[in-house]
Amino acid sequence: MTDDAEDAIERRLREAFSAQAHASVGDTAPPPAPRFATGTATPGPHRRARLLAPLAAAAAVVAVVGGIVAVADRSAPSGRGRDVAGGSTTSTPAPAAKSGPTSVPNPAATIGGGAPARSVHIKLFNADGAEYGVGMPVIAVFSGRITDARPLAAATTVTVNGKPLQADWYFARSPAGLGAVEGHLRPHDYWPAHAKVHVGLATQGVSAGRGITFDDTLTLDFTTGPRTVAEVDDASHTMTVTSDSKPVGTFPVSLGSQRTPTMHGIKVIMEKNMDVKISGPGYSDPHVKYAQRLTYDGEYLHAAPWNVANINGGRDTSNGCTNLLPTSAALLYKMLRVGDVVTYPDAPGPAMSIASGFGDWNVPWSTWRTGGLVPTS
Amino acid sequence: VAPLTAVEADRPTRSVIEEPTALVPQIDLHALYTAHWRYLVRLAALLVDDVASAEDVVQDAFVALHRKSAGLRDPDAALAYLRTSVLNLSRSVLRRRQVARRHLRVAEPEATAAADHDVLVRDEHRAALAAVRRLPRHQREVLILRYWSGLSEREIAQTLGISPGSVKSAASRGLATLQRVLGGELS
Repeated sequence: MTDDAEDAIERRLREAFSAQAHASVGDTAPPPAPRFATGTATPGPHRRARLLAPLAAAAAVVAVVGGIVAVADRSAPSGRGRDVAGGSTTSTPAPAAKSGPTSVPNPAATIGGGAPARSVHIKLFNADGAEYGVGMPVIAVFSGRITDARPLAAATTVTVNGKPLQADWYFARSPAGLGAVEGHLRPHDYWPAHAKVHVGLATQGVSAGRGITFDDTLTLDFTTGPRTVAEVDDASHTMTVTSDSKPVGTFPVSLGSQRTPTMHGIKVIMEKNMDVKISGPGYSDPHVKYAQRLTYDGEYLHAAPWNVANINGGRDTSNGCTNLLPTSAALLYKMLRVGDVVTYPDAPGPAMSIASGFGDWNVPWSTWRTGGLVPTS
Repeated sequence: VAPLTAVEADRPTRSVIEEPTALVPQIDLHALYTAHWRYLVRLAALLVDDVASAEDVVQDAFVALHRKSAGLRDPDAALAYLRTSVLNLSRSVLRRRQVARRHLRVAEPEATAAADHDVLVRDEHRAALAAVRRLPRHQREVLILRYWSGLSEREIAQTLGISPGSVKSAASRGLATLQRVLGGELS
């Protein structure tokens, strides 16, 4: 066909499609209420209903429960109820969503005479249904200040493969800036490997301190992968990885230079990026490959093709990151998951802590059990 | 030998990278819904030829995204996901409709989902749309994504899960057929 004819047919198609598109929905027709937010989404029964029902209803429930004080006043802003994408799942699932706000006891109404209770909304950081490494803490963020976490601790149940497991809350200033404090929940040792973990927070209406109540009830279900631990030895400039006690391999690394030493302690992989922009003083690389984040301020495991000589030569030259040969980085990127543990027993930098990332495992258990910034006992 | 600066500076400063937020639930589903509902319903309407099914398809696509949104942080990725969902769900609408039509053929010989909103569309467009409707599925989808959504070959390939080469050949075969069918009408 000639170019002219092709142009003509293309133009005609564009116009026809555009005409039909506009005929189907006008430019001003407002969208209907989204089904994902109305709780009427009914996934097929063949799907994983238990996991799904809460998810499908989460927006509705959070919207309903999130604005609990405003049960009668629908005009009250309930913006915080809208953001449920982080996988915080409400466990009063479909039934509660369908029966609507009237079935929800209003804690504010039960407090006679006094000032109305302030309600605090809990969101979980972790994704429902995800598979994490055994070092992954459960992280909760709060919409307002909480002053007493004992009722929260009492309302928390953790089971691993159906059996109860002791896990405790610890509160620290939120390094991610998600409110004043973050609550981290973890057992004494890493989570058991290859396990199904269920966390239940029956917190709706539960006190969070004087005049404060939680306004939502949540569950979290996740599974753990193998017990994969990477130990980075700064003396030999190597990283040794074991998975379920079996050795996986030893990889040469280059850690932070004297000016920018790598932090020591137990770190946990926070996120993975195939291709990430990393920059520092006088330097910016828009495409660093196989990057696995270990701290908020930017320590990663990553491929450092520009630094092969120093990686193989046992010299610490990075800005804090753990530089890996491209082949090792690719392999580790494939094998490690968010929540896997990377330890730096002899790195010369400052101590790893919750303020820097998922530094949970550096807090001694005796300290952990006090609850940190908010008392749990 | 790499320059020293390249060796030195692989540690980002706090302000430069988009860090803590990358770990925070970021996709605002309601905002996405408001922003893309119209576009997606129109896309689905082009694919399934009726508005009610198209609206259904888009609702289902958002429910699917909502179910999955824990794993998605990037709004662009979310839109790509929605687009692919709309494509897949539209296909099942068409499949279901074909089955229904086979069973209903006797009772309802005129049962056709062809758009009643075509009345709002000019005759010349109607002929083109009818010709597109008769194309094989892949060709039809590729043409809609190319000439209505304005996606690049690569984006179409990603949306449909086929190779860019298949996109190219489906588009040219589709256009050739249309040219043959409609060619006589063109001046």
